[in-house]
Amino acid sequence: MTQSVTQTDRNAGGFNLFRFARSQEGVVVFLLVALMIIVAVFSTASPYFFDVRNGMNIGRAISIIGIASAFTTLLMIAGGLDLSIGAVMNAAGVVAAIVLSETSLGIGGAIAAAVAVGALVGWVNGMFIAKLGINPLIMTIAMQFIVRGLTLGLAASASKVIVDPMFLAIGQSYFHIGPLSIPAPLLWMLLAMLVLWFVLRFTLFGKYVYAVGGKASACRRAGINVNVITIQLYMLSGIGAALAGVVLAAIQGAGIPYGAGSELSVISAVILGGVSLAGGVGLIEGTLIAVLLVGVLKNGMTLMGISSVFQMVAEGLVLVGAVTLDRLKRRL
Amino acid sequence: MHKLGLTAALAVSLLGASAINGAMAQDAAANPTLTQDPGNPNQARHWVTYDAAAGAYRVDSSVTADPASWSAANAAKAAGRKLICFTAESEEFDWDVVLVNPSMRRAAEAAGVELLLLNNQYPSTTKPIENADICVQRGADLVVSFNVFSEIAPAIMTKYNDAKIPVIAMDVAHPGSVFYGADNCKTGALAAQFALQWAKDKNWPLDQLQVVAGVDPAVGGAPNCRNTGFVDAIKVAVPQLPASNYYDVDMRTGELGPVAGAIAATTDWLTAHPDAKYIIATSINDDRAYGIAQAMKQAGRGDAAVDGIVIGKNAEKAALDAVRAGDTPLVGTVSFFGNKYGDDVIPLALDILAGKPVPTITSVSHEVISKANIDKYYPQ
Repeated sequence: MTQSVTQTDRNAGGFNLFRFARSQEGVVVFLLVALMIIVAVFSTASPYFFDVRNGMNIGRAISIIGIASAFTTLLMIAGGLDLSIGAVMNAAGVVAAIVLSETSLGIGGAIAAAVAVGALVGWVNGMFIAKLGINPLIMTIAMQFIVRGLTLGLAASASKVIVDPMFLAIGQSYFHIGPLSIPAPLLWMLLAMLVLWFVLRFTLFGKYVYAVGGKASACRRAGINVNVITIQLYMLSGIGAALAGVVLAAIQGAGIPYGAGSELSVISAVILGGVSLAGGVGLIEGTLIAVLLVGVLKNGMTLMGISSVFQMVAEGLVLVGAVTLDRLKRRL
Repeated sequence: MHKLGLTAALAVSLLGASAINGAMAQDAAANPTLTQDPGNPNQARHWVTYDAAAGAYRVDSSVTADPASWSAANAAKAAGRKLICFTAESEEFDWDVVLVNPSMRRAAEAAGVELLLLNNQYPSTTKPIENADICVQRGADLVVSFNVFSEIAPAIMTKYNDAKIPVIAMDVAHPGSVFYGADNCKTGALAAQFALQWAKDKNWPLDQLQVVAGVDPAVGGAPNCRNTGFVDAIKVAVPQLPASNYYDVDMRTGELGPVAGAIAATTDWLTAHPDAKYIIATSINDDRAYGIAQAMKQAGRGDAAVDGIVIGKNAEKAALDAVRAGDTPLVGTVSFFGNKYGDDVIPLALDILAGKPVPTITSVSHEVISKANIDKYYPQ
């Protein structure tokens, strides 16, 4: 009975709920609904949650993961994976701090040097993965170790304090729009999302990203240089991590050579946002809402006084739930 | 058009930055908390009161008593329901979960103040900054900041200064806050004194000591003084000991945790130094000290009378158990009584909120816990 209803619905003309649920847009709507429910629950549970200032706090807290996730979304849609993101973030912050303190290149030089580091790491990753066929997981884990080691060596294992007010403004200033004081990092994240949304949606490169992730062999037959696209995407991932690292260093007021490793937070946000590990599927909008959802969840639980021990459990459950729902949805 | 937008954005950023700098630009003479170094034994100590209008501590020269005479017993009582935001170092490590955090909760409850405990998730360098935002947003009356990374302390303090919230920094100084906690360098010096006394009691040749410091560059400069204080004190006491007898062994927290990391690093060091005797070792905390002792024992070089000894820091349960049992080289641990932090910090907070003068630096008592005195300080 269920089978026949499902079949009927699948074949129905006009709006088809099952088809919509399976679509990329369906994932975004699902996440949006989940976000709204979570916001409603926390708004009821904590008097401090539904507040503009708290919203800005959430925005700033998610900005670093958000910037890196935006770039990683493109890579993962194309079937790639980058576990060197966290190491590149730390490296970029340290390089920027060193350029600021030990050269006269100023803020422009510091950002350019940081971005160059990210691009170089991405290029090396891409070359080994695309040209030599090395598994991305292995290659980027190896690169994570290499970059972490080099960063610690470069910084002599010590943090580099940043005092340049112009650089600090990248992470610590606010944009005043009417009564709103929007933290700068939040705007950088939204800007990154907007630019990459445009790239994915309206450019030929964006179409290639989906095509490479969907069927690389077909792309090759169609004359698309898959290797070049792959290398470019790893470079973009490195640049995204470097930009996130620059903002992070500006927030912290220091380039810190060590960190807890944010790559798993980035990748889990991208997957939660509907990007398939197999590639070919995903939207920037999904990543944005997923990053927001995780940020809201963490913030709301903190405001409710829920122990961080249980917050970790909840974060894991949300990810498992999202992946399970995605799996079930594909069976519809 | 695009360029114009970016320029405008940068201009707005700069305006924001100058506002931040303006808030930070306070007179260090009137507010010594801005530049104080609690680890410096020559650091002058003052009485200060919190100027809520200015959002800064100010020297209170009306009090002539020694700032060290401040006592929790004479502290003010809570006037109305106050919210104290405590950004705890972690909710994971023994030091926090067993000692400091419960003491803060207990003392807050006894004093009738609301305590909002937020987890800084050490070793995260972003969470302490996010938590500062939450404390400000919740409108905390006072913040107790247990952030280990001195590098990010200015970024944290900018938020509290802007919001005019007084801050007590725990264990690591934050510019613009009063300090409460351990003297990291002193813990190292006390461990060294104990180790040298042990060596003398066992008739070890002092010029053949092997000084091992389990270092972790990732913890920042202040906690690492627990090692450098140890080494410096030995250099002063045993000037004839050659520089080649000092070893920094890297014990940063790896994927298997601090104890496993310390065991692996020490095992490698012991392998590279098969004839090393008269080892006096220390590290920044008991986890690593415990790991060093375990590695020595497992290598068959754990006889505290001959091979060497380890002195830990923090007086955590595993270390205290090892000291009491006496079957490993871990023969001592420097305690600064984290289980009593709350008993001082909450009254200190109440005095600040009541507008009473408080010391710029309140140091906790430090004691090397050994088999000889463990039952006195930590009765079973």
